[in-house]
Amino acid sequence: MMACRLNLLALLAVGLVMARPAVADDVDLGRRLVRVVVTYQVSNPFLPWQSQAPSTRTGYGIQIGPAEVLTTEHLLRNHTHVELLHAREGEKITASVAIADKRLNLALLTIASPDHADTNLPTLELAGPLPLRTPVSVLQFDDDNDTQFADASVAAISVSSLPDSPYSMLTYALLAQLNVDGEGAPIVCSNQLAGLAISYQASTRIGTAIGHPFIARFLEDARRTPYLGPASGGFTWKPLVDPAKRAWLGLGPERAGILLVSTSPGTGASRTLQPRDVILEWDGRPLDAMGYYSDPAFGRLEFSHLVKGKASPGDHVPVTIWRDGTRQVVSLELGGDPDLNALVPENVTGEKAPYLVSGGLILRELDVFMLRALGQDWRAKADPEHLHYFIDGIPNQQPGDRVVVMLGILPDTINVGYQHLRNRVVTAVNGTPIRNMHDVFAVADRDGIAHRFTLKGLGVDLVLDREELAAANLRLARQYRIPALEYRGVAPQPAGPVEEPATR
Amino acid sequence: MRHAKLNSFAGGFIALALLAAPPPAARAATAADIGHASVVKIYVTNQRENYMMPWQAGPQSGGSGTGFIIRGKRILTNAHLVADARFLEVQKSGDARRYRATVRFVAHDCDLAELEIQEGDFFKGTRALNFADRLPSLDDEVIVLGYPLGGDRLSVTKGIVSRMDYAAYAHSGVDQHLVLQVDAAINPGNSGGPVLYGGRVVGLAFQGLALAENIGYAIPLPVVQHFLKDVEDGQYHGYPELGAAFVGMRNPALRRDLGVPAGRSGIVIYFIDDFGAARGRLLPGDVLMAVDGHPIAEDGTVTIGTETYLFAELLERKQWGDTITVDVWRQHAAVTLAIPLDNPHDPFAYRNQYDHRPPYVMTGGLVFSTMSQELLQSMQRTSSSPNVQRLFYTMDYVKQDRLHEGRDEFVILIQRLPHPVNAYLDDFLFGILDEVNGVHIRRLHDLHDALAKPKGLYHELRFVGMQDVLVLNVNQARLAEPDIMRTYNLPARDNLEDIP
Repeated sequence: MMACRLNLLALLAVGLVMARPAVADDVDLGRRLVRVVVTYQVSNPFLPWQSQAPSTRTGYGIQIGPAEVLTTEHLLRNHTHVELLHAREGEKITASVAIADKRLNLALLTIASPDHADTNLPTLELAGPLPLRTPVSVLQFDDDNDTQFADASVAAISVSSLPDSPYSMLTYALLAQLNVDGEGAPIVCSNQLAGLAISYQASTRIGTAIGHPFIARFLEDARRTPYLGPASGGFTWKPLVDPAKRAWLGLGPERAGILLVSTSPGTGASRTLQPRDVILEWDGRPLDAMGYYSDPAFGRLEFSHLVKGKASPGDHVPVTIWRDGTRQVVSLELGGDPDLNALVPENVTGEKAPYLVSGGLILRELDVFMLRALGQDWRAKADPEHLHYFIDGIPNQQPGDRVVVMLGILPDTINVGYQHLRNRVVTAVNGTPIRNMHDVFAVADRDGIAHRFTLKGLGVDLVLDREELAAANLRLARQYRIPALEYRGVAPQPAGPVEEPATR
Repeated sequence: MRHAKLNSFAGGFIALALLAAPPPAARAATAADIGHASVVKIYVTNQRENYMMPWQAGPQSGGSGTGFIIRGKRILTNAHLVADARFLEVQKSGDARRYRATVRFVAHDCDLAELEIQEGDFFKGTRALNFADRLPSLDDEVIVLGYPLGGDRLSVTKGIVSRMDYAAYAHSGVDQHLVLQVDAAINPGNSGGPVLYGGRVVGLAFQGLALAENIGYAIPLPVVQHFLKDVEDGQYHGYPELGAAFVGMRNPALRRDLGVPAGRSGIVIYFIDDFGAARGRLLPGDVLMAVDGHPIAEDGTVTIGTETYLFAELLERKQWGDTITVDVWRQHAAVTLAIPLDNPHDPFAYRNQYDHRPPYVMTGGLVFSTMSQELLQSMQRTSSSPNVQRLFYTMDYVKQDRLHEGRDEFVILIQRLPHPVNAYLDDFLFGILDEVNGVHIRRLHDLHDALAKPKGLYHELRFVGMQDVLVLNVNQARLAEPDIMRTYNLPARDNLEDIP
């Protein structure tokens, strides 16, 4: 237990009220451990006004303040109701989600009722980076609903993928003595919080945990409004080992630098970097040809940790690149959530998509959540055109560009003759070109109703009877039990100019 | 008529009720008599190509099927029986001798082939079968003759006509024609055998249906006659393709929008294929109202007498080079147009390929070939490789998204034969080549030529949808090639000849 005590450099006080000396012990940790019971409901991406049956999952969290509980975002995903239980107690305490960060897989819960706030809770200290083989404890409930300290040790430290997520981050692999039965289980070391379990495999007894750097930065970010979350680079890259490629770029055979492959539209990277740049140094740290640097705390790490673990959106970092045979330093502005500028967003959390039903035509934006909802072999089942947008994007893509898809048509007399059409890309509504659902709603607002649809690859517009359409929409909503014929989403839509309708 | 994604909007199949033939006259000969004199057994050894390793052929396979003798010392059988044949023999019933045969005409789009036999004495004692004047009706009794599995002697099975439909022909994988469905057993080996009604040929047995019982399919008389007429000039041209996709005009709002007056009907053209006969003649938004004077209903059918057909059936009777007259509603006015049925060869239809050796070019252990149905069949649609997914998208959407513009074919990196010279190039596998050494690649020949003009010390290869450039050291690649060819058994650096 000595190992982590040596690293108490970056203590972070997070208790909001310090009413007791900060002497944490096992009893104190037991008092902080909560079981988190999440009722969740996933929206149906193909009938976006419907949801799947509610279901429940449980995990853990740790109380870090009088009314604040830290847990994982994945546990809370698509929550409709969250309850907390303390060890030995049966009382169900309602909590609400204050912040959930899908890219850090961390979330902060707030206990709703002041009666349940623990105003005497001492400050919880955070452990520093855990070296390999550090003995730690995993906190969870035993069969008698009492706090259990399961012994574990740090087996590996690496940047790896999060569960059900395209995002990756620095994690500890833990070898545990007892099965870990829920995500969010706190990892403690010398009575300090060292991490949160995010996954566990019973067959190998290996668990994965989010560690100190992310918990510290998340809690720090969480105190600021608005919540910014981690930065993203806004580009893709690959290793640069191939000696022929290095020579072609005018580089020596030394194993240094990575190859920039592409940048995302609308990001700082798209303004500063270009394909075939070689990134030699990131924020003053030399990168090897596989994209690794030497971290003072964790040793050899993939450089994405420098972006996600340390930086915030809007930060500028000096990047040393090799371009056209010369070494130069550029200042790169980092971005935030990559979904904001993506043509086909990941929507890894399965947020309900904005949609419009007009004359039985169901319109929504394409996202990866919808593609994956087709099942395990979603790539085989998805329309190849949809996969194409996901893989290759579009030429001259602008921020805010999305793919609006007409999913299908709910049969009614208004749409006879069209009902076999489905999964078609919509390029214009009422004669006005559209780039996203925001544009679709703008056109519908401008004209009162969406009655003419231009589909990609179809040289003829689908025209609906404008006089009959309002009545048909009421009929469709009743027949197919659609509570709302449109949903405009909670997040602000990317803005785009609406052009005047083309004369026809 | 081709059925591709673009044509799938035509709706369901239209069942065709066919003209009734008079009951058969008194039999001149039994079915067995006819069979012994006219139905032959065909022995074949074929060899499919290996599209992933185009420098070598696939394994041989052998089999047998049926054919029958028609007027002019010709033998009619299925194309699928003789496709990729390396060795063909024909045997008459009750004759131990096998005669070497060659393919005179083959029509892969309608699964028919005509064989000839050089040895003159073969036809001695045989009798050519005659074709019926018209198709039998539903429920009429037909006889299927052939040499199905389970024995060497002629087999006779009897059944009734259960359905006449427009259906896909499995051999090309793309084409649709009229099909005669019978409940007589049609088993492997029956392929190519005649279906007789009143002692005359009304069809040619050709495919069954997996997972179904008592469903056998025959190529009906009109398709067989279309083939025989087509080859009269000594060459098979195939079916003309209109190349127009349509939606019906059932929606009154659509009809009003196009300004089609009451009393007029038709279908709305929404896509014109660059390789169809309608190219440059019909336009998206045109309402096709009549073909050769036959009015088209709003669901795409035509009524002739008391029978209803899908309008495409009218084109099925046409030969390449014929002309049709269409009545079209365009820009709020009626126009009449003549459309010559002369569509060019379509390299982007992706029919199954036969009697064709896949070409390739190898450089530095990277093997390039051309896009084909066969190549993609060896890949998984479930693949998480973006390059593989891009291939499926390209094949399925080539026409709609006009991906064929500027290309005669798609050139694909199909293999990396591992060697130090290409050790870091896996990211490019299954990529579609766009540019080599500054030269745009329209076809595989262009790659061959561009590799002769490297950019200094390097070949630079760019691929569709990829920002990264494949770089190959010219000298190292050249030095590595003999070693790679020896190791992986390549007889030549490339094969660009389209020879069977």
